[in-house]
Amino acid sequence: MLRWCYPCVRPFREIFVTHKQFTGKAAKRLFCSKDQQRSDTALAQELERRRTKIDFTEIKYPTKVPETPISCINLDKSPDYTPSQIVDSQTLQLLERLSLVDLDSKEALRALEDSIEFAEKVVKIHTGCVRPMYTVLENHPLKTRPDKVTDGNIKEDILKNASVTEEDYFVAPPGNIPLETKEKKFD
Amino acid sequence: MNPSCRFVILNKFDKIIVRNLTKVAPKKSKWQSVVGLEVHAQISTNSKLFSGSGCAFGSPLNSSVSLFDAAIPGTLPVLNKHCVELAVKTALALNCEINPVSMFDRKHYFYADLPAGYQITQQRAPLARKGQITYPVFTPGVTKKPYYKTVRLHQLQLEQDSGKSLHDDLAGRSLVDLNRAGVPLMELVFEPDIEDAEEAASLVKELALILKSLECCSCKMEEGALRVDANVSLHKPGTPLGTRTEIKNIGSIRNVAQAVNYEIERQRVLLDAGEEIQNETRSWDAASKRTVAMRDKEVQQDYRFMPEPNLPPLHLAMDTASASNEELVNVQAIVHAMPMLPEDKRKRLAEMYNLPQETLIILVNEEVLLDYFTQIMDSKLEVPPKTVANFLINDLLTFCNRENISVNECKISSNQFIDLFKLMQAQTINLHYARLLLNEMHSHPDKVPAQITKEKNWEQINDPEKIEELCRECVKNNPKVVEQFKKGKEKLLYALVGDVAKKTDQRANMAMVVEKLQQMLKS
Repeated sequence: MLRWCYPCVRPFREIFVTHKQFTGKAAKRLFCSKDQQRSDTALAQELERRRTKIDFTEIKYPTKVPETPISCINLDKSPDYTPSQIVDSQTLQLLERLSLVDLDSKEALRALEDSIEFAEKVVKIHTGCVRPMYTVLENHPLKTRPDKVTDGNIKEDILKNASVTEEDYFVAPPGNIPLETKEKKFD
Repeated sequence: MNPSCRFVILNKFDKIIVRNLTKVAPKKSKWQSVVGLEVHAQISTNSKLFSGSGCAFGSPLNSSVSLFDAAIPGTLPVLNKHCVELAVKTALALNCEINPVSMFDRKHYFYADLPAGYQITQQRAPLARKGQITYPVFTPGVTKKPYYKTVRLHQLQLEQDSGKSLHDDLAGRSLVDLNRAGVPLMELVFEPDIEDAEEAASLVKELALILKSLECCSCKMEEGALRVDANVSLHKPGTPLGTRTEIKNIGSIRNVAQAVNYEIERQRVLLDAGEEIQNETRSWDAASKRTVAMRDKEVQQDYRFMPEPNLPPLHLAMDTASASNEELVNVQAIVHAMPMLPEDKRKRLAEMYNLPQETLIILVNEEVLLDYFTQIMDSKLEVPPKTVANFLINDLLTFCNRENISVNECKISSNQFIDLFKLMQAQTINLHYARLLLNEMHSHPDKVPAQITKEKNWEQINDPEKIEELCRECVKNNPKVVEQFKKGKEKLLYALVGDVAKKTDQRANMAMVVEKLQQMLKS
């Protein structure tokens, strides 16, 4: 996984040192060796600046993903607006059960319906004569490994992620139990 | 219809189903049953399909789990070459068309024992397709005469297993062990060519034999190494197939037959009563010998299949030209190294020893029996192959059943068997004592049968003088029987023979006794 040096926004490839002068959460962050030469106050200022505003022009691989969610729902269309995709309550219950996500508001339902409508455009593209490409590596044969046990036996690490365990088991809610099937009524 | 009413009706049906099932010959029905099997076989490898953790059965909880198996972000799958080799081997044994390029897909569903939220499987382009298996259908005591059946294999694919969940209903929670997550499986999907329960059970039996002889799978159904799902539907001949139900949780080969039989009968009773069959998943309950509806799957689930982006297509070296690439699995090399399959074994035995088909099937079905048989025959004894085969099938199997052990647990060595047949050949012991010897040989695997016979004084009485003496005594003690015999009731000879047998604890040479008695009484 690629990580970034927080103050100078450079990929983490060099030798890392911990800047002890930062207390609290910042102390746990890792910095690349170049930052060692800077003065602590300059570093602290730089850190503060980055924290408030990331300069995308300085990032080697800038991301186009917006920092905050952008709603595509046009609520101005209401109150009489009805989306072209309507999810009935039965389908809604099925989706909630399959995804284990609770759709808790009218807006959420509208977002779902609008998302479906948005994605519908794809269906209209004519792809009948195009051979699907599944991966850009199609001509590269899959590499294999010999049948040897080289991994595992890290029970402590594996169970570390679980909030509840019992005798080295993960504890999960019971499966296959139907969720509430009451009609949803949004006010 | 309200729910409680339905419950009553089902109970009534249950009684009819059980009654029909217990009948010796079920009545001819207008319904034709169609069965399709899906088999999951765990591939015998040291490590998992896409990670380097081990797959030994029964390792400590969550110990054979790598970061990849627990779906920790940033980990990637690396395919185990041996899994591909064993799957190709199986595909060849089942006469499949092998795909030179196959692909992996993700099948999504949410369940606690599937950490990634998807299973890596092969859906669009599986490893092999269009196979076929021809196997004998024969269950002693159920089917009258063996016959051969051919079932088509739709496809064979590689996939990951999920973890194991233990459901704690009281505390309302599931306990999850990920040791099994990522263990390699072969899924074999058969076409619905099977017509009844025995054909289904025999197919599983033959498949298990093939997989065992290929050393692809341990086929221990009790450990879940071989899992069978059966799809059952009924229709009238000449009409489209009926709605099917899927039976899961079948734990043994005998259970395959029982579950399919039960389900066919259940559907028949429902259809005869004008009810409709629901497309549902049912679980086989071995204790009550019933199938019960499972709660999930009221609606066809959408698995949202998509190509696995982390695995490029799997290429196989089909010809010698591409075989030089060490990275690829070499199909030709596997073709040349194919072992003998059960059907080859049966054919070879039939050619060498001229045994009846029933005998061949039972011998080949039990690996241990076949080993005993071949080793005894290889020792060049002058015992007819049929005698050896019958003794193993009838007497050894009866002994094992009585002791409640499987043939694999029998401690008798093949050398002891060879000695036993030598003793029988030399008339030192008779069949009665040979049977008793089985017990002794099993409890003392180090002892020679000849020694046991001597110690226990089980040797057959072959001395003609001794036999004559015994016969004379018998005639003297049974004047009434002798009188009646002389009047023409010749069958009474066997009463006298039985008397001699009883007196000598069955040690007398019966052939000689019969001959002697006849001689004495006719004179």
